[in-house]
Amino acid sequence: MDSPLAHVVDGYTRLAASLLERWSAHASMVATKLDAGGYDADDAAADLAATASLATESGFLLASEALDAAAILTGRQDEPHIVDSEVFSTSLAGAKLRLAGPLVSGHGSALPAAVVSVKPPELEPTEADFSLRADATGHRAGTYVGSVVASRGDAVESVTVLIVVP
Amino acid sequence: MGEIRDLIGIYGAIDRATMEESERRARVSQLLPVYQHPDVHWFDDFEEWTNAKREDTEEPPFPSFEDALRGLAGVEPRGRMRARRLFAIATAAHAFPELLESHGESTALAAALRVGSLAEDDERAQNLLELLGDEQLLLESDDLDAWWQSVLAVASYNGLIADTAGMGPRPCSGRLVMVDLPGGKGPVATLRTEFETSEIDFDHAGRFLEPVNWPDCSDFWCEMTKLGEQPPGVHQYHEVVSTDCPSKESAWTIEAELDFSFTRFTDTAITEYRLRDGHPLPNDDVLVDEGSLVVRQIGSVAKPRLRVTTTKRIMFNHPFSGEALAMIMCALGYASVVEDLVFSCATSGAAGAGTSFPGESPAAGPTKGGPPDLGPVIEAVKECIDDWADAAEASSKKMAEGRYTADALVQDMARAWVRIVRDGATALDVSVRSARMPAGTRAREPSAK
Repeated sequence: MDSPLAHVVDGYTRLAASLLERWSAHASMVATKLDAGGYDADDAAADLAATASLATESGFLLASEALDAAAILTGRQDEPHIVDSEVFSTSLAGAKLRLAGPLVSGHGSALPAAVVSVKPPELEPTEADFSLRADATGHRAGTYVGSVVASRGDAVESVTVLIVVP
Repeated sequence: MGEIRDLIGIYGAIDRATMEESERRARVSQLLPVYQHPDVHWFDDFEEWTNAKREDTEEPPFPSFEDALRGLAGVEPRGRMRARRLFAIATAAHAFPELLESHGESTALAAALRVGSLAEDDERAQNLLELLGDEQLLLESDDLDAWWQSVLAVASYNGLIADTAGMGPRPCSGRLVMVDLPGGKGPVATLRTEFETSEIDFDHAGRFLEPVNWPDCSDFWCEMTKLGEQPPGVHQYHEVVSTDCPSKESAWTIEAELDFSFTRFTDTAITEYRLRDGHPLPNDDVLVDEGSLVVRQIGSVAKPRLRVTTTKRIMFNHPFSGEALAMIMCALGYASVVEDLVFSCATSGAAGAGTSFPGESPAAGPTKGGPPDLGPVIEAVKECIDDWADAAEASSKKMAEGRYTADALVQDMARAWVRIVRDGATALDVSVRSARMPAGTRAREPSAK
């Protein structure tokens, strides 16, 4: 594994194998419960959470791998300091999303709204999840907290969000 | 002699060996990927700095490899230190595979594992050593975390370690990035570590995030004295850390003045720290020291699960490279305090141990909504699971048959993205609609998954 491309392919292969193994285990567990009968709302709620979590994690791992791949291939591992948040959700599927203001750390440092983007800025009609991406270059380390305003028609919801800047 | 000092002695011997032979470096880099960089070398510099910092003494600051193993054999590791010792011995076994075949040296390595909280007798210790040095197990593992879990599972199944609970994630898993400081003061090494655990609930974990508890959770923290709260919400502490607290004058020891802040939501506890305003002073050892400890509850009440994220920016008054600092942090455990809090204190402490988390929530209201109708969710979950299971089976079959090519990988990645977006949206949409949330203005706390 000498070339950058070889490193990228190797990274994806390892990640893919790991994810597939976990999805197989998860599916097997649910199938066992279904076969046993009595699959009820509580089971569904638990499995939905686990499925959504695994799907989201898979997406993020793949995305992380893609970002790593980009860094490896381009050799630009130092800058800019791009940071992604975890996934948040709103009850207003399809809403437009905007930051209510800067994100502020416990020490009072601010990440201006100008360096933070909501992804996506507008949800698809069936989408409820979003995340943040910040260019934290030159900012202090910390956990920055703020709000995202979700609006759909007359309905408005404020979702508290945070992003950890290493 | 301190246990952490012994671990540094082992990592130091490994570091020197990687300089002398590229094959050793390649083997070590399997467990410590930072050694993939051919120029990484830290121990001689660290030892020289330690000698310059401490009081004059004839005794070397860190033990030789042999003395370190002898030292560890006489110390019972507790909590998270059990995992750190396993990982250090595993790295040594991969760095010096010839020792596994040499009876005397192998016995010395195994003796470091033959302690009550790890292997209970000589035979188990020897078998545990062979497991840690098993090259094939490492090669067959998907990644290092999978290798670590396999090691613990096999050790537990075969009774090599009586109880693997509380071991925690793979040590030295921090991810290094170089970050520009405010004001363009140059790049600083930053480590980020994240792990999940279901071994402890959120409230119990939060009781150890207040720094006065840290010296009880790790021998590395000699002192964490609370000095006051000025201004309100900014808590000041005097920190003393050392590789050997009882003999800190002759050991690697640093002190720092830190400001802490604490924030808490229903499912999130955040501890942040940075050097106090006015620091560093001209003679301070620590020029940059700031970061976060974030504990999030991501499970349910019935099945509590925590995601723990640690970040640390660190710069000493000595020009270490980022990679060197990453290895120093690995050997010291300096960037991994939460692992000690969770696995050395919280999982083993009594219900009332620790102190109340001092943080308060910023403005955020409760989530509203009626009980959800989960009927449609059941169907969505079934479809989602079936789809992913089919995809996983198809790709696994290709891998098993050796037909999994780069093209297949690219296709799978593309399909995976489509599937994630489609299935996630479908299931969550059904869930959200079923929840019958009332429209209107309201606030919600973070709900990251």
